[in-house]
Amino acid sequence: MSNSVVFYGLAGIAVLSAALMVTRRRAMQSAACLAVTLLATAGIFLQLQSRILFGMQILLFAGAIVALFVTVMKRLHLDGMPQGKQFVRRIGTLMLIVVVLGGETALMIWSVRKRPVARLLAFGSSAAAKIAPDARAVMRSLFGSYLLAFEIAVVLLVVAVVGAVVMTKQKAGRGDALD
Amino acid sequence: MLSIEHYFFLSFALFLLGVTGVVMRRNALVVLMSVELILNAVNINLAACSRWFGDASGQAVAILLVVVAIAEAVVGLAIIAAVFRGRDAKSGDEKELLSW
Repeated sequence: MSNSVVFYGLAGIAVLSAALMVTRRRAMQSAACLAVTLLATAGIFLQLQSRILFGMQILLFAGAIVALFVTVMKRLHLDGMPQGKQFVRRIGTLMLIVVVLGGETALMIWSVRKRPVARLLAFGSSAAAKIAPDARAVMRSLFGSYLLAFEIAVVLLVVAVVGAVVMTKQKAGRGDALD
Repeated sequence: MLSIEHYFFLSFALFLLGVTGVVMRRNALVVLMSVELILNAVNINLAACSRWFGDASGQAVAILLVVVAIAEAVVGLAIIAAVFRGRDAKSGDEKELLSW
């Protein structure tokens, strides 16, 4: 019972602040709303008993990425009140995406409901619930069957960081901006 | 009682809001933030399925997704920084550069 109260509270906060993030005019307000959404998602990870994702969510998503956004915004003075239109009218594209995603979600729910064993395993029921995978199992999986994907992700991160340094590097004689 | 559908619907709502931001916003920074929101929604789905099926693979893939999200943010912000270097973004020429 309290489980679903926590879920609905966190989900409500996440969806509401995500909607605010999309609709705010100022980029700084959007960044604040994004941080709230990511923290609410961290709570949902904790409720799903995945502590490792909870930690990564707070440290990396809500911490590092939002701080990076805010730093770049402040450095480049992009946090002022923007002028002119903020939205592009692409209702047709959006409707297409809504239909495709809605169909996909319906298919997913249908395929889960079709499994009678899985249906018994509602999250709250202690009798039937499977044991949640702990950090040891996650790491075993990550460094076992997903080792190649992990290495590729590491290479991707190194390439991204080197590329970012090269792109933002100041040319000789130009002493402006990112000091 | 909570079931996996609740998490599917939450993930669907967040993904849709992120897609709305990517498709309809003109500000490049907010577009990047919306991409982060999309990746976050996928992570919720993966974590819920991992818990549901008692399999650690979902969380392992979610960790890889976090790494990809960070790489995306780094490269995207570097591009924005390279475009806007030394330029006052509040001046009139931002309109063309921030839109797409």
